[in-house]
Amino acid sequence: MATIQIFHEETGSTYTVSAVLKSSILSDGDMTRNSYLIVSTTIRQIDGSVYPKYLVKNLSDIAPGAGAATNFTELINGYIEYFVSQSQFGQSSSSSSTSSSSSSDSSAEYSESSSSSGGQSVSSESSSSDNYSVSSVSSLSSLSFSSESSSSQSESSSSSENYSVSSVSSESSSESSSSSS
Amino acid sequence: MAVNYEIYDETAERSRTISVEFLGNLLAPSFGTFDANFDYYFRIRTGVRDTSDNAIPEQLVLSLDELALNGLKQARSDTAVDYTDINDMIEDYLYDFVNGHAADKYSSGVEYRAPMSF
Repeated sequence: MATIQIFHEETGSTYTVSAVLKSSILSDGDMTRNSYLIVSTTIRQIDGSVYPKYLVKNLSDIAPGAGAATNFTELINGYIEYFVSQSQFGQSSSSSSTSSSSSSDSSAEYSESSSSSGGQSVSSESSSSDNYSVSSVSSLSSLSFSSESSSSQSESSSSSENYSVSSVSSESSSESSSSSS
Repeated sequence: MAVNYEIYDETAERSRTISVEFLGNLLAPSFGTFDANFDYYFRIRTGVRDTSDNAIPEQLVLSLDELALNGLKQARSDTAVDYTDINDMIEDYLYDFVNGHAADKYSSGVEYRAPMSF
């Protein structure tokens, strides 16, 4: 999971934008397992409502109004800039870049019942722009390689020769020994 | 938060796990120059060794045009076409982890790597 922290200098509040890899069957799909990202944020819209969660399956699933992305860095940065500009974080700044746009969004909004995360975070460098700053936090979640992790089992989705990709588990890979704080 | 893909081998009657996670970090790449900006990428790795008892190196994927075989070819077929989506990319990398590959497979210049051991 990639979690980006955004400090809003004007209010002294810190917000996050998260991009989480998930794997499941999508209700509007063909009932095969899919891997995708869910991009969400704690930033509120101008009217106080929450932003929808965005489902990203490929590099065409860009933030509303964002330019084309050639890699995942550009894609995620597009979402961060979208959230920040839509919520007018830089509004009072003399050189704010509020490229608000209400164009069609190519990315499907996604909703789910819950999304919890349990990764530890390591804060690193921050860069400021106007009156907000962005710092990245990424989690290196605990992994278990030798033993089977199983929080969610699902049916076999593909097989080849004498093996099959039989399940995907996510959320918690807990039986690991890596427990850095 | 990683997603663990469990691979079951019918002959050995056991499963192995390959872990995939999406991260945002300052990345010092093996190739290319370092810059102090965050990169967002997939990290694919496993603790399982191959049948030659070598560790299988982890893979970082920053874009859908970074194909599994040296960035040049897909692992499942002789094609240099970009992955269509994240799912397609992960499946191809899993295929390469599990099956290994011949030297210079599909003229990609890769070195031989044995299949994953079960």
